[in-house]
Formats: sequence, C-alpha cells, structure tokens
Amino acid sequence: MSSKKGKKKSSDEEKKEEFIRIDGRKPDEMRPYKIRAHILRNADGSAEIRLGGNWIIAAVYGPKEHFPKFEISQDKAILNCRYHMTPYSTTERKSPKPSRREIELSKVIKNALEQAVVLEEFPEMSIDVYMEVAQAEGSTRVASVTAAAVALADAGIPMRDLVVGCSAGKVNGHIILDVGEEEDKEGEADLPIAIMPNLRKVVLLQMDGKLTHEEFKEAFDLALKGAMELYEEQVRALTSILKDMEVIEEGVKDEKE
Amino acid sequence: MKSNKRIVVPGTTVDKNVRYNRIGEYFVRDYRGLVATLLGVVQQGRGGIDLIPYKDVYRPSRGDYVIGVVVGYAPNGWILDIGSYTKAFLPASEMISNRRFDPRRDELSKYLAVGDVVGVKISDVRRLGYFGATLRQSPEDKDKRLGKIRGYYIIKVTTTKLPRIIGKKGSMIRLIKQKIKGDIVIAQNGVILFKGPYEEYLLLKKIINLIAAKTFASGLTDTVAGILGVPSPREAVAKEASKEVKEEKMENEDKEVNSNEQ
Repeated sequence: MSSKKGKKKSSDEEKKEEFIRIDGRKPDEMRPYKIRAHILRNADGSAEIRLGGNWIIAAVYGPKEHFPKFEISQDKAILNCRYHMTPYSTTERKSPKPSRREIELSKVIKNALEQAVVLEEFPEMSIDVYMEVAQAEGSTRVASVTAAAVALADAGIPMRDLVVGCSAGKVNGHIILDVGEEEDKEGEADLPIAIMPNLRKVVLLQMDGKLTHEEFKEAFDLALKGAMELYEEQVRALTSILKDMEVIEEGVKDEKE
Repeated sequence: MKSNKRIVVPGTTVDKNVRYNRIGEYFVRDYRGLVATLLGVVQQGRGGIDLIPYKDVYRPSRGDYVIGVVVGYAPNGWILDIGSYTKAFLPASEMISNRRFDPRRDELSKYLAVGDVVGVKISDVRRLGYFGATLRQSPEDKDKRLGKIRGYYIIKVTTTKLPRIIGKKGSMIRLIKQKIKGDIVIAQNGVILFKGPYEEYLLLKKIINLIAAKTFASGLTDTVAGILGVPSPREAVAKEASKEVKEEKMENEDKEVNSNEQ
C-alpha cells in the first residue's frame, strides 16, 4: 500500500511540475510587473503599475479640508478611495458609472489603506486616493492597492508601512499565483490578499469559490510570496526617485555587516 | 562620528533600538523599533537621527512668515490659502490700524479682494480649525514683506527644499543675491517672491529648479556658483588658503635666501 501511495504522490508532483497555465506561466510565476512613482504633474502624489495586461494609475490629493462638514472626524483624517474602471479598460465597453463591484472594491481598498496611513496627524482633514484602471486583466484590486500605497508615499503622507497586494487561486485542481483574467473567470477559486509586509499584518483578504483548508493555506502562502516580490518592486520604484536626485548612500554596507 | 546616509521608504525600520539623544520628526516608535513614515534620506550623527523627507505636507508653527492668497471672506476677516492642509484666517482689524473695524461701514474687498496675494505671519496654530494670521511686525522681520503684495514674480517649491535654497547659514541665498539683482523674499511655506527684470527672474527660476531637482546632492553651492559665474564660497576660502600658503612659502624662501647669503 505504502509503495503505491508513494508512487501516486510522485506522479502528482510530476503533474504539478508539468502544469502549464493558459498564458504559459508556471503555477508559482508572476506576470511581468513594473511600478513607476511620480508620473503625474498636477496630483500631489501618483504612481502607475503594470502587472501583465493590467495598467492602473493611482493619484493622491491632500490632506485638505473635508466636505461635507458633518462627516468630519475630530480625531483623525478621512481617507476617500475611488476605484474606477475606465470605459476602455475591458474588451466590451464598460459604463463609466460606478458599478456595485467598484463601490465594494473602493471600500475594501479604503479599509486596507486606512491601517497604514497615520491619519491621526491630520484631524478634520481628508485624503483622496483615486485609482483608475486604464486596462484590466484580472487581479486589479490588489494591483490598485499596490499602486495606491506608492502614490501615498510619493505624496509625502506619513505611513506606518507600505501596503502591497497579490492574488492566488485554483485552476484545474492546481494552486496558482497571480490570477489572470481567464483563470479568474474559469477557475475554481481566487484569493486576493493585501498585507503590510513590515508590520506582518493582513489588511485585505477575500475569497471567491471553494478551497479546502490545506488548499487555502497553500494559496495564502503563495500569495504572500508574490506580495513580497511586489514589495521589492515598490521599494525600488520609490528609491529610484531619490536616486535620480543623485542621493549617494553612505555607510549602508557597514550596517549590513 | 561617521556620517550615515540612507534612503528609506515608509515602514523601513531604521534602528531596532531607540537609543538616540534626539529623534527628528517623521518617525514612529512601535515594537519594530524606530520606523520611518516618509520617503526620504535618514542621516545620523552627533547622537541624533533625522529624516530629510522627499516631500512633506507644510505644517506651520507660530511666527512663520508665509505668503497666501485670499480665497474667501468671513464676516470679520479674510480666508487665506497658504498651501498647508488647512487655511489661515486674517482678522479685518489687522488691515485697519487707526480705528475699530465696523462691518457696516467697512467693505472687506476694498482692502483685500479674492485673488490678492498677502504676506502674513502665523500667530496661532491650533489642533483644529484655521490657523491665525497677523500683520504685526516685530523688529526681527525687517526684510519681510507683510501686507498686500504687488508686482512680484512668484515661484513655488516644496517646503523640504527650502533649507537647500537658503543653504548653510544662508550661504546659497547670499550667493544668489550677489549675482541676481532684485528683491528676493523667501516665505516658509515654499513661496519665493522676486521683483526685478524678467531675465533675472528666468535665471532665478532656473537655479531654483536646479536646486529642487538636486536637493540631496552634495556640492550644490559650487554647481550654482558655476552657473552664476561667481567664485563659490568654498573656492574663495581655498584661494585664500592657497594665498596664505604661497606667502608662507615666499617667506620661507626669503629666509632661505637670507640664510644662504649669510
């Protein structure tokens, strides 16, 4: 029996290695990504992310006075988030009117970013975050969070940590990283998460479809791995602004030693 | 002590132990240690640690000289936009000096209209509500333009760049004022006023943009001196030093000659 089991397991592992996704990626491979900070002139802070076919622009205004006045909070600032898909972001024209889905995503993204921003520094004020999906190809919510965090840092708004998101999912019984559009539609499950990597906190966790306990753990770990990869890209995007300003780091090597 | 420069992003743990005599702004302390909250450069030295931010929201303190734009009227004064997170309030009594302000007789827009540029000092910073503004002049601010400002060119920069524009003990601004003829006024909210010929304004703008783009670079004064065609303060010091050395040499040679003669 035991030998049979072992045989079965090894064939399973082979299958896992052989599994190639619809766009030719390995199960634990991200789509190509690129983040750029400070891309807009007029906004206080801005960023852009390209994750495969996704192209999202995030912009930040504020802190500024909040309207209407009855909503203001005496002890902290209000974070307004707007996630919006442009009419030309999908293959079929999307109505520019905010849909039920977009309102929900604005809310979950707001909840995620609120944990990171030091809102207590600006009582009675509000900070606006706009995320415009210019082109969509699956996992836009986590890509939006990632771009929005970079835009907030670019605007000079104090944050306890950056927020970075990544998604995992299940397709044909295989757990996969960074769910694409077809995989999202045809797959069995998807699991977008957003984390604060240094504070080790999960700030966004949603799941669509069904996963067993073990599968969930595997998918979660995979998404964490992807998020850490994107976090490095966020840091690179932000530090490259300063490196363009000819900042020369001193004494960093000594510290590492 | 060895200088330590390092680029940080929000959430970077600068040091696990908090053991500094002086900790600058822009840090939070939690279980991770000392954590940066803004993108910038962390500098360490003389027992203190500071974060020089790439961009920051202007937070005025009492006594700051700022330049604002009138954006609205209140029953007893003006609302000014000073480029901070909230607006400033200038009481009408500040503009009318010889008698009491009478809302029935005095038309606010005759003194200051919406769109006018005003130089004010911050008199009051509260946690909630608008900042208080005043026009009262103390003996120290002779060179500050308080009240309505007319006929000036305006250049805006982020407040984090002002220390570089002014320089160490005012070295950079002194260098700029040496070459550029005209009236230059720097306000603490990042507004720079200039009155003078248009060509000089363009030159000033070019220099300020250069400083803003290279805020963190070292040897900036020399670069600006090169553009202006003025010997930089450092070079001047070096020249003097070399002169002294030469003189010393000469003296030595003289002595040698004298000794040889003897």
